[in-house]
Amino acid sequence: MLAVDEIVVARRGRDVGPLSFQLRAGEIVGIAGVSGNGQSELVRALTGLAPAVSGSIALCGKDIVAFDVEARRRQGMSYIPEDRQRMGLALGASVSENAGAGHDDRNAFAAGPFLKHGAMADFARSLIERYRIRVAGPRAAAATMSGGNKQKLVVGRELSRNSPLVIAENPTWGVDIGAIDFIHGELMRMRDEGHAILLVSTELDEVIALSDRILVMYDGAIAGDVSGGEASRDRVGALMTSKSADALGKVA
Amino acid sequence: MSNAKTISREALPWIFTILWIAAIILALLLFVGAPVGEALSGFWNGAFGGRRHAYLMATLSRSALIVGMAVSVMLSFRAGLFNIGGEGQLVAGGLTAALVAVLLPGPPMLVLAVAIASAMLAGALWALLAGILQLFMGVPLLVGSLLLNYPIRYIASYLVAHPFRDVQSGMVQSHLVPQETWLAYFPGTRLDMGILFTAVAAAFALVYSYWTVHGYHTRLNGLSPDFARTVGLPVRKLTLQTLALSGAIAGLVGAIAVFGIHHRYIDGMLVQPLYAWTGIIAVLLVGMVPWAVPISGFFFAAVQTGAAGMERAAGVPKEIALVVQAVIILFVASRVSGALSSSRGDGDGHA
Repeated sequence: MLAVDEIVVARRGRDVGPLSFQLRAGEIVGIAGVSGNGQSELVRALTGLAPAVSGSIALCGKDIVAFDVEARRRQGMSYIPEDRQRMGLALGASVSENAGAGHDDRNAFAAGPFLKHGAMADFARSLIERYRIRVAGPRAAAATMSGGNKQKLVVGRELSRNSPLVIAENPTWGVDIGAIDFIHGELMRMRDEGHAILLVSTELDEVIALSDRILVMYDGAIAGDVSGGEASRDRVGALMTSKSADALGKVA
Repeated sequence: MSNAKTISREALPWIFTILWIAAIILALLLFVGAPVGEALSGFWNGAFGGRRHAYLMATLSRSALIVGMAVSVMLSFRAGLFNIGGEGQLVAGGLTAALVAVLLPGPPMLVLAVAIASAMLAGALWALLAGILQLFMGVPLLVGSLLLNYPIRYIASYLVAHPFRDVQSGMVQSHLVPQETWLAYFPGTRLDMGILFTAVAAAFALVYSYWTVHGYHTRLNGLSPDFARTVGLPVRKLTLQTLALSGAIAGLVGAIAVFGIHHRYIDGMLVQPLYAWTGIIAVLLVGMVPWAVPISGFFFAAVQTGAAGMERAAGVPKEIALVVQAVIILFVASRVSGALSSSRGDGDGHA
């Protein structure tokens, strides 16, 4: 589904990578690591928000390195960004306007150059219902929702696109427990339906609970690959600081 | 109960604002020793009165240009593009309209149509230049669009001062455009049909902002550029298209000024009355809300013509009237910008 080959991303200081890994349909691959070890750079390179210095990314058998964000999404990628305030939502816009953004089917909400406000509101209403988002209605400003409900709207919008690949970056960050369970359930349901999910999270428990396979990032590289069954906090935790342990060993 | 409370909570600051404005205007009038009653009635009459509403027509004529510029600016601002180069785009349009009409032979209606179209094209290209500077050379739009006002202003000055000057007139101005291309007056008035073009532009902007996909996408970009990028909106394309649209409307306003009012390009005719800047203020005053922009533009036109009326009727120096205008802007702007920044705030801790 997703094949990342020798990808290098620029970062202040040292570049991230080269990273290589594969993601098959019907599995959740977790990327664990202490925040700041290159995960966000990797995600930005995958989604097209930042260019990769070198390497290739293939999505559904097609090289997407040269694609922009829109083309990548069309090729079959959804993205739940970590920062729902800035990247996930336009807070000044209504729930309906947020829900309709980035929709694949251009004609779903448009008749020629004109917007179908009714269809957009219906879609927003369906998300509100399905994801039990607590908000006054489709016309309410996104800023009026609580953090958990904002996140549910972002998750709902992205998952409803039903794309083969979902990149979820700290999808339950700052969200109440009920919403966490719900989002986890949705991700697992997507996995069971045959979608590939890349779960990038600094919550170790979340990664261990959901992932079929865990890649641990340390200092811009993949320090280890643990299958979900064998994963334990200790094992993954050790890898998260693996290289520093090596370095200490050498000094001693 | 709670409803009445919110109304009073929202209305109270406005009442204080108006009281402040009234107090300062009163103080200013007393300071220059003008008869207050006469000054105020002169102001009102100058903006809306006159024999057969002649002054109202002057206000409308002026608001045609101010509202047009405000609409142009609004489209950019709502898209998050701080294009303050409306003046340059306006001059590019006016200059092009006049030169095309002077130089191009042919049936007058065709000449008029071609001149207006090329004015819009010129405005659009001038605006695009600022966009290209930003996207490809990293010049911030705010700076690029502002600085581009100066070259076009002096290019226009040069062209009407030298190659295309109407030497006999003794003024720095182009030749008159053919009389058959002049926009007609509304019957029985001195108000030209140019305001119809502005009305169309304003109606277009309303429909565009509220009901089109493009308007929706640009608004998302205006509200949050990061969001627009993340959900895959073609941000660069939207930027250039919006600037072109904005510039085309500014160019149209330049053409209206030529064919409706001055009938030629006179050096400084579009710059000195500060149409573009008044348009920007008119847009900011109402927080970029599309339907309110024409009203706001009309309000500014009325303040300006009213100031002239106050000068005639009560001998109040026009400069004082300009101070009055500035006072109104200052107080209202402080309220509006406060409202804007609070609507940008968000629920749980902005990162």
